[in-house]
Amino acid sequence: MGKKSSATRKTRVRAHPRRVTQSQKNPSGVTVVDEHSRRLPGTYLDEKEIYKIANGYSLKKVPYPSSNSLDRPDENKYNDLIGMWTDYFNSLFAIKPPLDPDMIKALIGSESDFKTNPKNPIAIGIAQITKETHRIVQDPKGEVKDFIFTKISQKDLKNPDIAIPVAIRWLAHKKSLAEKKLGRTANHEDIILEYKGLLKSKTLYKGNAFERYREFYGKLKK
Amino acid sequence: MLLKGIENFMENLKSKIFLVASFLLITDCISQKKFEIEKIQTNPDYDDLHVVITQSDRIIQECLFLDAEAENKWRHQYSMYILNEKNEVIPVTYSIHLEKSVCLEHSKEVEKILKNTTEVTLCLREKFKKDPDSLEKQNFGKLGQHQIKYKYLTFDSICSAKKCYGVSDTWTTTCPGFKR
Repeated sequence: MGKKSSATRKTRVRAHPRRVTQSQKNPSGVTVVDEHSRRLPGTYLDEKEIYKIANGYSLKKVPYPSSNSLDRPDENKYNDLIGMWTDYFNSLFAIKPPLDPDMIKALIGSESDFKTNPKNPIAIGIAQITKETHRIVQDPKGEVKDFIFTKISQKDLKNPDIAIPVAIRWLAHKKSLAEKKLGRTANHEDIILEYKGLLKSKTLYKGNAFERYREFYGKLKK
Repeated sequence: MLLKGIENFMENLKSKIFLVASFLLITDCISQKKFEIEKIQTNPDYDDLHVVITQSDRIIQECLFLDAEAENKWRHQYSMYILNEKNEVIPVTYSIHLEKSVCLEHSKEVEKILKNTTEVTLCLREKFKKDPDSLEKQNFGKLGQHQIKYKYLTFDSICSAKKCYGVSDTWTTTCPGFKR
């Protein structure tokens, strides 16, 4: 993943007054906002920005995932979102080799069978993003601080419009983690194993756990 | 006279009850299939479907912990093992990973059906293929320990004569007669 300097993508905002509703605590109706850093546009996405990008994205050269049958009711419902957001992050991070939209689609199928809210108290939505990942992708000091999401609630992750870009951004990070662990370019299976936490896991059932992804990917590439 | 009549009637009734009970027992034993599998023809683009009829004591279940890394520690895989008539084990799995409580809940629903009947019908998916590399064995209690001989099939539904439980809405197709 191509890294962009986060140092040049933040600015300091000096302490400044801000009007607030008059209250007992603040009878003057003015408060002072302390000096703080602000992320510049292009280093984060909130819900509004996600929709703005999705609605204005040129779909002409977007590589879509295959529409081959996976025998699931909603299997092709998210092809546009998958293609568009894969292309967006491939360009933004200059990912080489680029993330494959078929890989993303097979991953989503293997995580949720394309159901937007599979029952799981720990992981949420179509891409089964965990509560921990939800926290990390929004942490301005965390492992994906170069490009984060902001003001995305856990409930928002039940919406594929939001969950799909979050999952692809997280997968781009997982690609770089897999490459660090392996010391070579990660192939699609390495990336998915890392996403599922199985790349270096010593579980006896790794093969079985990975079977569904392989099956979907194989059908999409037919 | 009346007393003798009642005695005769009771004797007749006893022998009739005995006959009916014997008949039911015999027909039950005859009709109970150890294991029967039928492949259902579907669209070639879709999964192969199989209807399996078997005795409920030939099925065991477990939730396998996948012991993944980092934030993925929740992953469990629901597995079911079926013993066929040749005492070979057919493994069956749920299509997606589940958190432990959800996996156990699923297992409990299947257990309810297995406990309340002696014969069940299952709808299973994927190609039915031998797995020559498998060394894993499963313990079926009084039926003994037996080796897994097939590749994993995918769980769709399980039915007793009275009740069905399944995830057939996951797919666009299911076995004929299985509720959607």
